[in-house]
Amino acid sequence: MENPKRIAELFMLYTLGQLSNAEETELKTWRGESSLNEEIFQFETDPKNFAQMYREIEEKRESIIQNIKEALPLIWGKKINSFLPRIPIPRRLEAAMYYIIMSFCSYSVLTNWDGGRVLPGGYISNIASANWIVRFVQDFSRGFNEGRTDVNIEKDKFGNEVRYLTSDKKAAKDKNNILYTPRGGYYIVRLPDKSLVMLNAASSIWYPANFDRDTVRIILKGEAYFEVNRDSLHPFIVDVKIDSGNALNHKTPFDDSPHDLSLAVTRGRFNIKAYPDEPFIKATMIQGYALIGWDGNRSMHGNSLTAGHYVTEMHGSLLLTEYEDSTTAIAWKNGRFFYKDAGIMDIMNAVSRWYNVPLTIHDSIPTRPFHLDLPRTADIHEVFIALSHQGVFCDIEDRRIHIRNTQ
Amino acid sequence: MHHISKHRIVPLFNERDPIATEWVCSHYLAPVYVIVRRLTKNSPETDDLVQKTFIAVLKHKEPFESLRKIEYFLYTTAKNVSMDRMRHRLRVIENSEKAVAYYMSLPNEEDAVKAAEQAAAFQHLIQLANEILPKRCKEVFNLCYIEGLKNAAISLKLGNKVKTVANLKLKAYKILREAIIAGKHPDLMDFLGLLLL
Repeated sequence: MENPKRIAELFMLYTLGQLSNAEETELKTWRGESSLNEEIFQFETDPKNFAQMYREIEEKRESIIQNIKEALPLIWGKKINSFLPRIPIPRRLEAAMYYIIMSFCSYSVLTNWDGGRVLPGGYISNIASANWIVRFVQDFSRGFNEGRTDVNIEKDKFGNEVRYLTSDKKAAKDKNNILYTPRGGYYIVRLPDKSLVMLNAASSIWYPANFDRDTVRIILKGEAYFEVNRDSLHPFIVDVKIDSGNALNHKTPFDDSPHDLSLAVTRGRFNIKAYPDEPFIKATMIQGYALIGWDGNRSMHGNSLTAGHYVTEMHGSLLLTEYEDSTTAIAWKNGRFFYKDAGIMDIMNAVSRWYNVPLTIHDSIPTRPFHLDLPRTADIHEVFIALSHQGVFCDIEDRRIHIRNTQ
Repeated sequence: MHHISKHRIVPLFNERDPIATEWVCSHYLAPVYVIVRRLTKNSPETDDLVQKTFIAVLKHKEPFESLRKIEYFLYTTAKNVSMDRMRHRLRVIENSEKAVAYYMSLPNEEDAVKAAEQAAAFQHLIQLANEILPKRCKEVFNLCYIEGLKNAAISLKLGNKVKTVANLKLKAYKILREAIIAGKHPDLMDFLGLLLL
């Protein structure tokens, strides 16, 4: 076979993991024609050869896309076609329509299911009152308008959209709302006090409906990155609870059971990871200072967490450690999978949550360290290829990731 | 980052719907960037050429039938804009006065070094081709790579059939591929898959 376009196409399909059986045979035949072909194939499909370029792309992504938008303002100036016509609809009918569409979403979108392909996660989140009456915040593609919920959209000085949760000044002091992302979702929002919260997949925060309080207390399950700017008399407290099996099932977070970890912050940037399927809770301080407490009385023990350190909590004991590089802890918020000397389950749990595909492990779990550096927009097969070079074979069968140790 | 159902992307993109358009730009940014970056050796113009590629596809008036067609258009355009830039660079560095003016116009030394590396690699490829290719293959290769002519234009110029030109080109690619691998030319490895396959 000497058709350059066809060979290039087969390389591309191979890298994306989309080769059919016939195409696989075709590629195998071409590779077998000469050692030269095999050498070209190895070079062109080895992600290591292009890792540096992918890092550059992520650094430049926003600026390049912004420049394209500026060059063609007519396209991005268009009004987005609304998914639903803007005509008066009785509220009951509206609720029924939401329910029907939500059922559709839960099948085709929340499962990241696209005609059999597993897709990376996306910008998706729901908001609910404390008794779990769910209102939409953002649908899968183009938008139930967020103005229907408790989210306001404003433009910052650069013209970017910023989403703000609203504060209900008439709400009782103990009333809380829940913002949650499903598996395969993430969300960025500012709280009424302007604190920034980025929620990773399968995560939730309980926040007060009325924000006009001296101290703001948030309950987190899952993973979130915070940027807080308050004063020392009015701290921002994040309680972490992972006692239930599912990040979204815990319906009474303000009960008397002890929190697993509490962080009180006045000013700073930090990431907290607290998934029920992870062995420990990890809080990483990127900038600023926090007080740590972890008992049921909500009293702070006076331990402090400063920038450059992370704290892990396991079965009630805390371990404070200095880190050299915060990249791993906050790579997800920068749109990357970045793991260095990490356990395979750390990596695969994150992959499973982001692509919304459950895991099945067939052999003993390898204990050696693994590395991964890919954008989160990568096809799941790119993750598999990167891991296969390190001796772990992953594949998707019956909507599950199957992991096999090949060493 | 928006989630959008794949079967809706192409019709929405043909209407230049903002979300579908952004999805296409975001989704194909990485492969387009890799093509341009490899061919231009990370020269200072890489970002501009990537933007130029996307702007070309967004200004394309004919509707696309499938995502695969959009991909091909993007990859071919990325290759063509990079090749045009390399040819232009080659013309610049052949004229010493223009070369000095060009390198002086770059904002820093690092960019000048990258630009010089890229020009040197392309020059190396052409030099290698001229050393090892048989006469007819060399003619076709030079017309294609230095002059930027298509097969039909080359066939008119040389008085051959288009099929003959295509065959000569494939033969030239094969000889060059073998020479690059056997001769261990690391600076030419990026041309191997993108231009000479």
